[in-house]
Amino acid sequence: MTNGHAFQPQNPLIVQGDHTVLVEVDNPRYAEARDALARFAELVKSPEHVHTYRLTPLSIWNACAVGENAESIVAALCGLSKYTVPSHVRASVRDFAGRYGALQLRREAPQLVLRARDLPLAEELAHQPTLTSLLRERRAPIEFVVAPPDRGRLKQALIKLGFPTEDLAGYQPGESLDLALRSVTSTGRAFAPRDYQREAADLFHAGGAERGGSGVVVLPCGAGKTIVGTVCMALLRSSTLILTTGITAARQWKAELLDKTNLSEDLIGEYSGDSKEVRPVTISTYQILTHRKNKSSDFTHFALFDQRNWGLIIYDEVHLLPAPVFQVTASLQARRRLGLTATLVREDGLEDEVFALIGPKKYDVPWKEMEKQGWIAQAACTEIRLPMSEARRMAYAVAEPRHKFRIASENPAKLRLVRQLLVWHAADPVLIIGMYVEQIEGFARELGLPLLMGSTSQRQRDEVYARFRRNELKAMVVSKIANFSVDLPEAAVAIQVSGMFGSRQEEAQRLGRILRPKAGENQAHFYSIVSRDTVEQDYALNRQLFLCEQGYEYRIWTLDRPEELLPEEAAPAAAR
Amino acid sequence: MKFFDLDWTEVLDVLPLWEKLSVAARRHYLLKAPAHAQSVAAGGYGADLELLLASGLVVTGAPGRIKPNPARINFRRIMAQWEKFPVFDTDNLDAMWRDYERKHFLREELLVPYVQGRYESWHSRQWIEKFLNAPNVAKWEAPLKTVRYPRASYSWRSWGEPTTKPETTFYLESAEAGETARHLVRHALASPQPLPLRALGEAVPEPLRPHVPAAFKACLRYHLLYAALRPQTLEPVYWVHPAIGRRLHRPAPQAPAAVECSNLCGPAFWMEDMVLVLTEASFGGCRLKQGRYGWEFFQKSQQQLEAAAMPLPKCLAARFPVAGRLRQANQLLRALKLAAARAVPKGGLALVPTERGTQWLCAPPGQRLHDLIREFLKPAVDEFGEDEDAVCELVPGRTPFLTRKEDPVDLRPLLAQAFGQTTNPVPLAEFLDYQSRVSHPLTAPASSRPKHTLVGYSVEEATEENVEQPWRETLETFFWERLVPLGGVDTGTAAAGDLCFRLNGGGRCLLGLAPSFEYTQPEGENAIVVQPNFEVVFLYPNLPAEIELGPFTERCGKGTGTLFRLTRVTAMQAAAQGWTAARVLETLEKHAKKPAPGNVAAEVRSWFGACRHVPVRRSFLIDCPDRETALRFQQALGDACRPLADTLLEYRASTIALEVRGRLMEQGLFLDRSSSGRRVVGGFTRDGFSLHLHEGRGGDRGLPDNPRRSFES
Repeated sequence: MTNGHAFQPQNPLIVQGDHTVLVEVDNPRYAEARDALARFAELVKSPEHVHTYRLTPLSIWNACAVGENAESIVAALCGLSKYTVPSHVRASVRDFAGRYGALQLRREAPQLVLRARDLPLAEELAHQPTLTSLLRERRAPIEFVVAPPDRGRLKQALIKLGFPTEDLAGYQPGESLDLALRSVTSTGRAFAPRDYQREAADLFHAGGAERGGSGVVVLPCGAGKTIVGTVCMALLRSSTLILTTGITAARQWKAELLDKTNLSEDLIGEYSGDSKEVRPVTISTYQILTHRKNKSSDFTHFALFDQRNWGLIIYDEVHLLPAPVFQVTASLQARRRLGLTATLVREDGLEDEVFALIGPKKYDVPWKEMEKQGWIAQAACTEIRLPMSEARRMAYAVAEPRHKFRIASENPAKLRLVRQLLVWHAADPVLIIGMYVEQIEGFARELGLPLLMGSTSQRQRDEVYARFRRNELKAMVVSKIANFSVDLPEAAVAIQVSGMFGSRQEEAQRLGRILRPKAGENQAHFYSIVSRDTVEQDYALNRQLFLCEQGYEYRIWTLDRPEELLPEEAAPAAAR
Repeated sequence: MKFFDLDWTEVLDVLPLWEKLSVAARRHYLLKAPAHAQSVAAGGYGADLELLLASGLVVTGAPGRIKPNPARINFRRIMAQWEKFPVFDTDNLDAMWRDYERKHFLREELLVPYVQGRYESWHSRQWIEKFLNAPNVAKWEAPLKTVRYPRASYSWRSWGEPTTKPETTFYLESAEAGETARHLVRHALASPQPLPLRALGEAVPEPLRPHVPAAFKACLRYHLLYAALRPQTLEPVYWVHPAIGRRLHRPAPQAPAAVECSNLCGPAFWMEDMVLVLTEASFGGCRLKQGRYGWEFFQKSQQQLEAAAMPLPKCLAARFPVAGRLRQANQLLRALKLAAARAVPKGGLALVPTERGTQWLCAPPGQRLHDLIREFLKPAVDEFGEDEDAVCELVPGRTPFLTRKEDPVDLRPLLAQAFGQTTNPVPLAEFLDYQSRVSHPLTAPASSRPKHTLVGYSVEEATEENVEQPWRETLETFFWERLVPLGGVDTGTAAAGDLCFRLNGGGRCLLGLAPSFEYTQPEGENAIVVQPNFEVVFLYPNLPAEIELGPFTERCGKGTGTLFRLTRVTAMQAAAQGWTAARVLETLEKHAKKPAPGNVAAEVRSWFGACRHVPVRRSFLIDCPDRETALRFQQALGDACRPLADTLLEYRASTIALEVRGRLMEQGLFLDRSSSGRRVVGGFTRDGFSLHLHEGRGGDRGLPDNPRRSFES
């Protein structure tokens, strides 16, 4: 507890000395607190009753980038806190915020100029070994000349030193492109971007000003990040390079663009393993861009970045951006850059690189808010624990530790439960997701369902996805290829029969597949079947914690015998 | 009298001239020439110079200089005094009054009210009424006459036997002067504000007007009237004592209206602080040292306690700094014999809970507070030198109201009457304004009314003018030093920012309005949240809950925030101590805002469900070389020995008794301790220690010299 003695029990926040902020969800001022914190703090976890945010330098800089300042942040914290905000937290906020804007990068053709706020800071920079090669001439006591190619690397280096650079050097306009949004899609449905999508795009674009044009839009899975990208393209009307996580996602982008914009097919190119088209709008994948013959050779496809005068580069799922793409992005600072993601948190901790090279967070909307408004589905998570047969238990007991997880994951008794769930959700499109090929092959064979996995050809995949979208197929079995950027808006139920140990990101992505808004009750179901009293259950606990921290309702059903089925009360209301 | 003992005819005659002067000229006349003979620049008087010269208030001095006229020096001195003491316009009348009296009255005059134990208060309507209603003014004046002793007589040798006859002065010798004075006083009493001195004559009938100067002087002498210059206009005015005048003409008291106050809470933080200190003291964490305030905590202990102390609402936090609260808790604990300063083995002293203190700590919070309040209801212990006893008096500080026997008045019924009405939140300031007027001790039944009041260090007859302020202070002190820290009132802030309060159960009990009450700890309800991610979040500090949750959770914080996490490991540790899932969930539910989330409950049950308690016993394994030997052993050892395999036997015993070994020996069966090269035939493990038994096949192999020793490990 802090040493502060003021106590306002009606307020919803507890600001702790470790820079975390707890928010009481049941408090009448919760919504106010959530909206305030969204501006300057990172949401760490959001379980049912108390959410945890964290104040970090990046979160404060992101806030400053959209016009916040230290005093407004401190005032918001003090005004909403139950207890006095610890003085060192207030000091930290002021310190972090004070650093934003202390360095500004401007264009003074033909060169760039880095201007420090004051002489001591300029001196500090001048004596930094990591900046020696990046800062050229010192043309004034507080100004340094910077070569345009070093723009990204300089920002990277400065952020490592704890100084974010306000980049006001502007962008190249890029080749112009006649792109407009349709009011009626090519499939004949009325179309208009949702308010939040338009708002996110406008914030990114900033009316074409230098303060806009680079940044990250954070929206939950299923909230329509592709549409945000499309609206940005329509605002900029220039040639665009779109980088995605896989070919399926790339094709979905293409389909969306064809459906919702006036672009014709000949203006959209696919740059992948199969095809190397470079057109005014080119969609590629991180995989092809980072491909090289061996570890010592160059990334041959990086040339794509220079093959056209791109006016905008879109990084889909920016939290998965591979390190080599960061390198090339450092040299692309003169082009507008848009990052799209559901979470800014990267497993590799390179959030600061995203800030420096792609840009600050421009828009974020709490997913609970979107769920309330019906833009994404409500998800109910259920974990079903079932025991293994005696024989399998014995095999498990004597197996080497590294094999135990697989033995538990491939518990054949899971099939019976999957059948039961398929009956319960006969009316809903279902994805059965697994990790082990033999297991999912067996499921597909037994259930008579199509199977999509890494070895399935893209054509086959597209066909199956298309049938699924057309509702001709009620269920399919997929491997981890469906984890990312597969747009299956109809999927309402996911049954996870085996997972990647305790991977939280995988859990989030799998759940994301079923979050598109649904007709009717707008309810999605996520089932996870695990073998009871095994390491699989232990790993499932990690995933359970993660989903609970994301705020999802989580139920557990424990069965006593392998042949047992779920009780009637476990069934969704529609199936009862 | 000092300055005022002069012929007022001259002063009153000059007043019309003074009235004609501009304010600037009046100020210049009074302030620019501090010494009477000092001349000032003529220009300062501006257009009023001629008028001043004509009035004779000033005369010309050196060229271009003007000085006060020595002949009008009395007027100037009176004006200067009135300007220095703006008694009708000061904010701090009490402070000015002491100076005023000292400057204007002789010691003998000031002592007059105290002689013969009268302790009369000049500043009361009672005093004026006595004068106005006296049948004979001369008789009224007689005991008040000024007896002035020559200065030379004040030596310790001659004290009581003045060498020179004292000079006695009467100011109301003539009946006309007395009657005129009564007219003046009645007129002033009827006025809601000070009256202009120039109109003094208008207050009396025409025939009495020649007696006005003498009557006015007498009124000043006997504190019936006061005069001063208004600071803004320097206009001379007169009135009765401002406390009397204002009191007479103020609006009727208005009962404070109830206000909306959403954030009311009544933390009994004295009790919470005592619990905190006593808990720390239980673990030896409260070392003491002699400090400015008696026994104080060492800095480290103090810092730890401050960090853990319960935070207060903003409206209370500034008034009750944590350091002071802890000092109070320390003092209360020792005064109530709940803890004592004792020597500790490490050296020095520490606060150690007494048996009574431990019992108190183990009681439920409501009982603890009840016990504490009961201590304040006990009669005060009147023991000099025992400061600690004073901390438990119901009404803190010295009671300013005294009965005829000079004993303090019992204020509890009056306090109960005043505070008992606040069932809805009211602003504190309005409450004090109202109650100071309507429930002061003079409103009590005649038998329990005070006779005297303490005013500063002196005693005065209790009058309505001098009881209201001390009563207001008593109410305020009782509110801040008893009701608030003992959680007897719920306090909060109204929309306008005013501090508001209402009496709660604890307060009613403290005031004797209720025999008992329900105490809800401020953090007791809705304090703890069990999250679906297995974290236990404390929204408010809750020490008892921390203690109860500790055995089955992992601590990850202190005070507020995420303090605990439920994990499988901690569940197993709790299970080892005999906890069950039901007990864990019950404990969580007892303190938590809502029941534990379904997944948490399921997981806890699953963890505990996987626990198995298996009895462990010691036994010996006897590994025989063949079936025949095994049968022989089984036969010799009886039911205590059972076969586990053809040649493997289990002998159920913690030791092999001498008698058993003897029986085996008789049958040629020998047991031996294991050693290298010998065949191990049995053993058991206990705490990492092994004892192995060996088969013996004859005296040459295996049989120890001393069989007993061979089995003792």
